[in-house]
Amino acid sequence: MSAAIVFEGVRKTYGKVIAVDRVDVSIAAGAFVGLIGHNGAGKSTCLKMLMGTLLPTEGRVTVCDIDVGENPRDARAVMGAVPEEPAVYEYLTGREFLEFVAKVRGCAGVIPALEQVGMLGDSDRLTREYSQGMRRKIALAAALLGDPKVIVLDEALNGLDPPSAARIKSVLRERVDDGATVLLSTHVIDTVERVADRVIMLAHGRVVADEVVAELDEGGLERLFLERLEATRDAR
Amino acid sequence: MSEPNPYWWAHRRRQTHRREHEGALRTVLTALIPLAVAAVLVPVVRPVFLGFLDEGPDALASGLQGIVLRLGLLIVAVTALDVYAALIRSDERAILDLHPVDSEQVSQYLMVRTERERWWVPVAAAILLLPVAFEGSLLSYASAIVALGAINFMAFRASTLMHLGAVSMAESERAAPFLDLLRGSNPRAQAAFLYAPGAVLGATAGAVWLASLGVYAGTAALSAGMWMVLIPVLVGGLASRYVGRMSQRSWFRASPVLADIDARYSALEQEDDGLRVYLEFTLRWLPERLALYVEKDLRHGWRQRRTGVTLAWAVGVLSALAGWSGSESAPVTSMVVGVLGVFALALNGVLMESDQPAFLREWLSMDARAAMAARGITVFGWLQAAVWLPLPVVWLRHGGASAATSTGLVFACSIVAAVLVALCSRRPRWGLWVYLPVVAGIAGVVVTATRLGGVL
Repeated sequence: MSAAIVFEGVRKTYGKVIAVDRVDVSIAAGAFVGLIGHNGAGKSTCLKMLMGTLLPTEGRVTVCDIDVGENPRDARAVMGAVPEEPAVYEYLTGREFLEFVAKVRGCAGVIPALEQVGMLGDSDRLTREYSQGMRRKIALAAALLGDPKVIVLDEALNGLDPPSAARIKSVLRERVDDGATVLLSTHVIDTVERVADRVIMLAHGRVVADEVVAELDEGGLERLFLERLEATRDAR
Repeated sequence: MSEPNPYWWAHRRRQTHRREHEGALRTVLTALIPLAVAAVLVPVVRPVFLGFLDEGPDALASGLQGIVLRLGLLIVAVTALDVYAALIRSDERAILDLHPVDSEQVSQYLMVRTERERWWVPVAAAILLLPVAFEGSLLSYASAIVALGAINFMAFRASTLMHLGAVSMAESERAAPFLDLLRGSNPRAQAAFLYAPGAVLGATAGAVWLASLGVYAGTAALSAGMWMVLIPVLVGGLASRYVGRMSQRSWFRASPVLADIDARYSALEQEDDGLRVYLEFTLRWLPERLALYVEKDLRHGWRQRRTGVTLAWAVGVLSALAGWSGSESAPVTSMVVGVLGVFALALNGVLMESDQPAFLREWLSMDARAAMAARGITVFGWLQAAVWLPLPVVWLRHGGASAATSTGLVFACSIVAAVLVALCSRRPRWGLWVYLPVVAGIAGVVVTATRLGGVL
């Protein structure tokens, strides 16, 4: 199966600070992958490089064989993304915001996206009146527009009430079943254990584990995470 | 009918909702205040900058040419800073960066949107120059307004092109040694943006000068040269042709370049936090209750509005340069630059309130009086560079009495500005709308009274 996302020898430094250190990862099309790590492990930096809002100091990132650094527009055309702090236009309604994104992406059908995230009833209110969770749901709906081949989510389930989180997880699972690839960054291990097929663990900017979730015992992911984190700390 | 440009469509929808939400009064005030400020400043501008109107028709052409040249360069400089904020540091980047936007359409939209939002700049210039129409000649006035409109048109297009070019320069390996020479303690890439407004001025200065010559020709009835007032339109049109091509790569590359710059600034702040915050050493002389809030404001202002804060030094230098002239009116001109600069710079203190997280006021038990006093003290501190820099220059050239009087007046205005900012900081929603007309009135009264009373 071809790779949907590839990190090839990726390193990101700011002067003496190493944010991401030689990450080599390949994610096949149609996979649901969880990216976990402690605060400051480099998860958001990796996702920003994937979205093209940050460039690697070394190495390259590709999405569906498109080099994100060289062709950010083409890469974004096949990718839907929700950043850690999603931004929306404050003086648009939720529906208008999605209509705007649909126009930019050259697609139609904002109503199904609103239904999928459970925001149809609130879609005619200005986004400035939304709670943090509602904004996140609208950002998720925007990321789903146009059926992107790759969906990138940075802590996207934070701040959602349990029914909404369950609904979104099921929508994401449906997308994966239809062939899309989902990369979900989170520090909530339980979420990854429930929804992801594969988990990639980062610690201090390095990949310290890359496992198939089904092959881990119950509670095994948390144990593995703590072991690897401690081992990395000792090595440093 | 389908909307060809989604960015304009979203902008119009946002404008409509904003008007509905904020009410017609605020919309009208927002539009009229800059013009009201310009109208109030006419009595100040007339004696200080349009003195050539008293010297008869012979002085009109060269006097008006000089004014158009200076005002034109000022418009270019301010526009360059505006375009940097709107295009490179655009608030919309966080939204647009997630989608496959048409970079050419986005760049054109941000440029034209900013130009429309600044519609009042050429209109305010036309108001400030009204005495030329009444006391000089209508044709001269018209040629000056056309020239300034053309310069305004060029300024937006040239600034957009140069700032998009600055992104390429910031990334260029070939430009790296040159940027390293210029950057000081800033990240290398930031040097390209720091000097971009200067590059815009350099690139357009010739066109501004030619337009001012067109005004001279119009005033001196040399009809053959009048067409030169339109040269900036040609330059702007030419720049506009290349905006699309330049934006194709630069729009997308700007975000990672800015992210790197911010991360490197952040690393610098962490290395010697506290020492780098401008004026933080003054905290040792303040009572503990005040020092807490002053420290917050000093750090907030330095990190959020660094350019606005350091502009006080630029105003001080401008004021000193104005005072260096041997002309008898030099101390007054220096004082006027100082007074206007001080009131304009103090705006930083009012605008800071809009960055303040609401929870500070609503949830924390903030000492409202101490916070208000701290804002005034902080702004007062920032303004002092503009107050004291011209003193030795005016003293040397015009004597101690003139220097003491002009500095004393600017110093008094810095106190008034700081008090006003402190009072306005308690009303974040209306602070700006109270501050602007009040200071315009005070500046007008101070300068006019100084002139009429022959204080200097």
